[in-house]
Parts: sequence; structure tokens; C-alpha cells
Amino acid sequence: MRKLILSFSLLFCYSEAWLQKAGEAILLDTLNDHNIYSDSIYNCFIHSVSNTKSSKPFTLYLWNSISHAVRLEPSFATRESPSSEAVFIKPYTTFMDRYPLKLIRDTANRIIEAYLATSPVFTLEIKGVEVATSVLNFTSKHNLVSFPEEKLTIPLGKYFNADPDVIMIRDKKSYDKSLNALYSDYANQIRDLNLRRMSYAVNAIKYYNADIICADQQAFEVITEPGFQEKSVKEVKIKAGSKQGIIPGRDYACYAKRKVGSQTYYEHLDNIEIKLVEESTSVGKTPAFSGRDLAKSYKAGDIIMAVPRYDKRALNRLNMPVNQKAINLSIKKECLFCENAAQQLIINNPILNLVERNAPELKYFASLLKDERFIDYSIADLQGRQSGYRLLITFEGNDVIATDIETNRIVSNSKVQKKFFDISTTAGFSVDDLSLILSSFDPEHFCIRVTDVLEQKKEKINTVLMYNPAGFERATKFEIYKEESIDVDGEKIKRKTVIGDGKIGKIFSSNLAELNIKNGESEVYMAYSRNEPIFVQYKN
Amino acid sequence: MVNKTKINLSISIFAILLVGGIRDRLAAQTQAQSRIAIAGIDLVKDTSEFFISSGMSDYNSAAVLQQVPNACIEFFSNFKNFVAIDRKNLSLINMEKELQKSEEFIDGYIVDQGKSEGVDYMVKSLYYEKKKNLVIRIYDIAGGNVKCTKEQRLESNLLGIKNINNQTRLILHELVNECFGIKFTVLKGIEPAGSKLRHLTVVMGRKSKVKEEDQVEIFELVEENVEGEMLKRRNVIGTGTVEEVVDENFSNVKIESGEKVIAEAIAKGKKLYCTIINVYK
Repeated sequence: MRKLILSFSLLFCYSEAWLQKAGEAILLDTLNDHNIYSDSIYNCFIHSVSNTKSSKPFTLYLWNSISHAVRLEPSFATRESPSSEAVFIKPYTTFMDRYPLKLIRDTANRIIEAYLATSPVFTLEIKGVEVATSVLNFTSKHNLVSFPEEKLTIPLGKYFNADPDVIMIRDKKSYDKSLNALYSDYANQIRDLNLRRMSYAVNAIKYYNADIICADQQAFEVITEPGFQEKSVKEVKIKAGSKQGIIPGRDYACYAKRKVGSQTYYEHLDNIEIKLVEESTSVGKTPAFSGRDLAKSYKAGDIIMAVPRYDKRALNRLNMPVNQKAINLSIKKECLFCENAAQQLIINNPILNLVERNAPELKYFASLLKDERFIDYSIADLQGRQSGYRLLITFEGNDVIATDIETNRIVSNSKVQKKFFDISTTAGFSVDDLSLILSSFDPEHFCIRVTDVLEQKKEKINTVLMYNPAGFERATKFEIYKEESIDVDGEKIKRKTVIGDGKIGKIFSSNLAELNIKNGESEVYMAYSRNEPIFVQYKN
Repeated sequence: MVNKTKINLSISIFAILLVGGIRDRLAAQTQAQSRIAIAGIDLVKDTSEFFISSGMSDYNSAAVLQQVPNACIEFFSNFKNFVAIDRKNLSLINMEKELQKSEEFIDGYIVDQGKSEGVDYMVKSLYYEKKKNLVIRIYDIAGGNVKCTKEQRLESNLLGIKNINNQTRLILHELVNECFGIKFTVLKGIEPAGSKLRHLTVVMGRKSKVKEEDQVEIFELVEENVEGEMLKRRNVIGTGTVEEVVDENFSNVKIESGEKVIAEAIAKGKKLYCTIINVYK
């Protein structure tokens, strides 16, 4: 019987090893631009993706972001594979055939210069969603090529016999006729300019392919050399190779494990580019004039990890606080690429999972996981793992409303309109809004707290270490307060007494930062030495 | 053996009583807060009179339609005495809950089903475009009737309606005072100057949706015997302005009138209260 179980186990192990891993689906939006420039960029992108080396199999799809239709790119027709992640790519260009006519005037309102202002921008928006859970893995927006305005100077008198603005008001027809003549004369020049700039955009998109497709997500240990004596590190050896999916040319960032107070975090040292890959080890090289921080860490015997440079997930996992409860939330929005800034803020936080509900395309990829064609793939563990969300965030005008969908309770309501020198300005969704949502939802698990005293002189506390589940922004001001309970008509009501305030200094990780106390250092010391609980809150 | 059974039985009874007690206590705590839902706002275009809609009235209506429901949500969410319930996103929430029942979520994260909370009250607003009148009503769901209603002309100037959020907040303060008898207790007097008092600490803070420069009425409740029935009468003894909102629960109020009477009342140990009578516009 034992032999039978053993042989079954071995068979299972072999079959698991033999099974292929699910890859990545790359969905390229083919909706927005249809001009000579964008078509060339699409072609270049598809060609570039097809020739990109990746540790994971990938399939390219042509996608319509409005109808949500997905179809295989013809060159991938015979090699579709199941995908664990769907990467949505929306490129758009502002290459124009008619750039605006600009008139520069002097103080007497005379035209001193007239030109066509050409300032094309090529933008890529990218979102990666985990097919099995619908959790957003990453989101980014790159202005790949944002060219400075170039002036195409024109002889104004040749086209307009008077001030163009005056003609436009008096005789619109004549103005339009002159303008059309101007654009038709300059069409070739605009076209040449756009084509020249497009070549830069094409090069840029080639560069970004590697990051889109080969986001490795994993962190690997760096093998340090005992007795290292050099001033800088030129070559870094990593405890992972081709078996782990490392590919030459990828960029990694090295981080050292550090301790601050009672907490640990990973500090950035230097970047490396992988040059040599063996089966279970690989070697990366540091750029010129760098590697000094790595050398210091080598000498100190620190634990060093190499994480993908452009993918924060691996670093987030390293910095994930121990015993911290994670929470799933979603944003109510109209389209996949809407509310990008808010999503970016949430994704950068290791304890938050953002569930994407604006991507019905995921159903197609989820169905592929059940497809009999892919019986050779290890995809059973990707099924039945869809994630629901607990908090729904809604943006309405200047209001941010968070709802607990379990009870339908409104957890918090805040304004994205902030005060700057007593003037109201409309700012975006920020860390303090997120902090309010989390602390209102579950104050016990998601409150901001002081974890350690970092600097203390005589009877004053100058610096403390703070933990904020929502994250930190540089130079944010916080108040330190004590709480006392007051009996009012038989009801215990908490009263806050502010004892000091300070400003965020060094940010160690997404949830840890130091607070430099500016006022009330002695009061904070007194409270701390008496073991009185002290709390922190945002300073208005 | 019999003794052991008796001990076990008494422990079980004690445990049941303890659990029951805790549950009752929790229930009592949660009962103190009323669940309130905020419905949308209806626009009433007055067609009974000759009225040509100007661009400004459309602009005003758009602002009111957008901001009043949000101001109501802002007022009731995290208010000490209320739990605000989202009804605006009900279809989206129900859709998500239905989705989570599918087998795709069998090993994934799901929320507890069947924990949705019902509401005790519903807030609904009406805006009369021509008169610029805003009506806010609170409906009692159990009774099926209007618990209270308030109609107020919104102040405006050449640029449109002045600070809609604050004007709505004032109406809501008056409504919760009338409907639910919400009043704020005066905790103590501070900075006495001779026989007068200059400042008061009042149990109203951010959780009571009070803001700096709000004007308050300071009063005591006097019991009057009317034909054998004891009725409470509000005896206004002064007014003040909120000078500082200290925290979620407390504010400092600067006394504007009635300093002497208030000082005497506090010295005699009388209970004083405040209500909001005007807000900064």
C-alpha cells in the first residue's frame, strides 16, 4: 500500500513538473488612433513583442476598449496559450496634421512672430490584471515621447492680408480659406516632422516591451562575498538563473534588509542589468560610477535582495508588514483606464488589493483556464480564486465616499478639495483620504500609530517611527495627542489633547516613516516615560 | 456525579446569561445610532407661472442637484447619532454580492452575505428651481410617514447660490434638532472674567458636523406644569460662536450674549445645552 501511495505521489510530482505554466495575455487597444503614425507604431509594437524574449509564454490580442471585443493577433493564431495575467495596453498619439497657429504679439498688440506650434506626445497606458482573482497588479501611464514644442515659422503675409484674429471675426470664410491654404502648403513639412518624431516613439515602445511582458514579480537573494574589500561592486551574483526565469538584459534593483526601531524594511542600494545567466545563478552589472552602496552592504554582511526594477509588487511583498490585515477594495468608474491616479496610489500600498470590475474581457481568459486544449498546463490552482471586494470607493464631484458592501454602511466621506495657504485647491485623491477611509472602516487594524522612539536627547523626544497602513507623503504634518475619557451625562466621551506636532522626514517603506517632532518634544517625552498611550493624526 | 452535573449546568446558565447580557449591551449601544439612507434630489421646474429658464437658473439647479445629496451624505456619515447607509450604489453592491455567490469565488475572498443593514429613516430632497427653495424631508420607514420637513430659500448672489454645502448643513442641523431632539451639552465654562463667562466647552465636535464660525443658541430646559402635565420649555439665555473645533467630540464656543446669566446658571450647577442656529455662508 505504501509503495502504491509513493508511486502515485511520484507520478503526481512528475506530472506537476511536466505541466507548463500559464503565461501572459497582452491586449493592445486598436481603437483610438487610425493614422499613418499610429498604424506604424502598432506594427512596430507587434513586431517587437513577437521578438521579445520572455520567461513566460505570452499571447498577443487585438482589443477594442469600447466594445470589449478580444481577438487573437493573426501571427499568434496557432499558438494561443492560457494566461494568468492580462496586460491591457492603450497607446495614443497626438501627432496632428494641423498643428495650431500661434501668434506672438508685442505690447502694442502687433504680431511679431507667427508659427505652427508642434508638440506631439506619444502616451502608453498599461494595466495588468490577474486573471484568476481580478486583482489589479499594476497600472502606469507613460508619456513615452513628449517632444518640446517646435516652431514651424510661416510667412504670415503670404496667407493673411491683415491680422488673422481680426479676419476671423469679420470674415470667417476668408479666414478658413487662408488657413487651409497654409496647412496644404505645410503638409509635407508637418508630415516629415511627425515621421521623424515617430521613429523616436517606435524606439521608445521597443524599450518598454521588456517591462510590460517580463515583469517577473519575484525577488531573488544576492550572493554576497565574505571579506569583500573593494570600494564599489561591479558585478552582482544572484541566487536564481534560467530555471527561475531570469533573462539577460533585464533590469533589477538591489535592496538591503535594514532594521529601524522594532521594524524591518528594505532600502534601495543600486540598480543592475543582467548580463550572464546560468541554470541556477546569474550575474548582473552595476552602471558606471555606482555600486558603492552595494559595497558597504557587502562589507556589513547585510541580506540583499534583487527585485525587478520597474515592478513594485516584489518590493511590496518584501515590505509587507507582519500580521497586517489586507483589504480588498474597488473603485466605481466608467472605464478600465479611468481614475488612474487613485488606482496608482492604492496599488503602491502592499496591504491593499484593488479589484477590477471594468474588464469584462477577463471572462474570456478565465474561460481559457477551463479549456480542454490546455490540458498540458498547470492551471487548476488558478480556478475558483476570484476575489470579491469589501470597500467600494466612489468619486462624486469633490467628494470621496467609501461604502462597506457587507453592511451597505457609508464608512467615510471626505473632500478631495484641499486647503493650500487658506486657498481651496482641487487636489486628487491622496494618502490622507485613504487613511481616513481605512481608519474609519477598521480603527483597530488600520490606525496610524507610533511604533518606536528613534531619537531622544535629555528629556525630549525628537524623532519617532510611525506606521501608517495608508502610506506616507513627504513633509506631511502630524499631531501627537493623548486621549482622556470624560463622563458626560453618564456617557464616556473621549477627549483629545494635542501635546506636539511634527513633519514626516525619511520614508523607509510604503508604511514606515520617521516623524521629526517640531513642537512639544518634552510633553511627548513625559507622556512616553509615563507609559501613557500617545496617538497621531493628520494636522489640518 | 450529581454535583458535577449541577456545576456544569450552573456554568452553562451563567455563560448563557453572560452572552445574553453582552448581546443586550451591544444591542443597546447600536440602538443609540439610527440608520439613515440618503436618497437623491428631485428638481421641480415651476411651470404654473410664466417663467423662462435662464442660464443662471440652470447653472444653479445643476449645482444644487449635484451638491445637496453629497452634503447630506457628508452630514450623516460619521455623525455621532447616525449610521449612514448607501442606497445610491445599491444596484452595484447587489451585483457584486450576487457575483460573489458564483463558484468562481469558491476559494477566493468574499464578504459575508445577509449582513446588509436596513434603514430607520430616509432623507429626500426637493428643489424648486424658480423660488430657489430647498426642501429636505426625513421619512420614518417603520411608520411610513414624513417625520419632519424643512423648506428654506437658498441665499444667492450674482455668481449663483452661496455655499450650498453650508446652507444644506444648517437645514440638516435644524432638522435633526426638531426630529430627534439632538442638542449639545455644555461641559464647562472657561476664562471667567468677574461675574461673566467668555468661553464654554461644549460636547459637539467634528462628529456633530460643527464647524468654526457656526452660531449657537445657549439654553436651559425648564419644566413647566401645564394642567398637571410636566412639559419642558427651552429657555434661551445666550448666544455664541464656535471659535475652535477641538476634536471629534468637543468645541470651544465664544459667548456673544448672556455672559452673566450663563455664568450664574453654571455656578448653580444647571444643565445647559446648545443648538446650531446659523452657519458661516
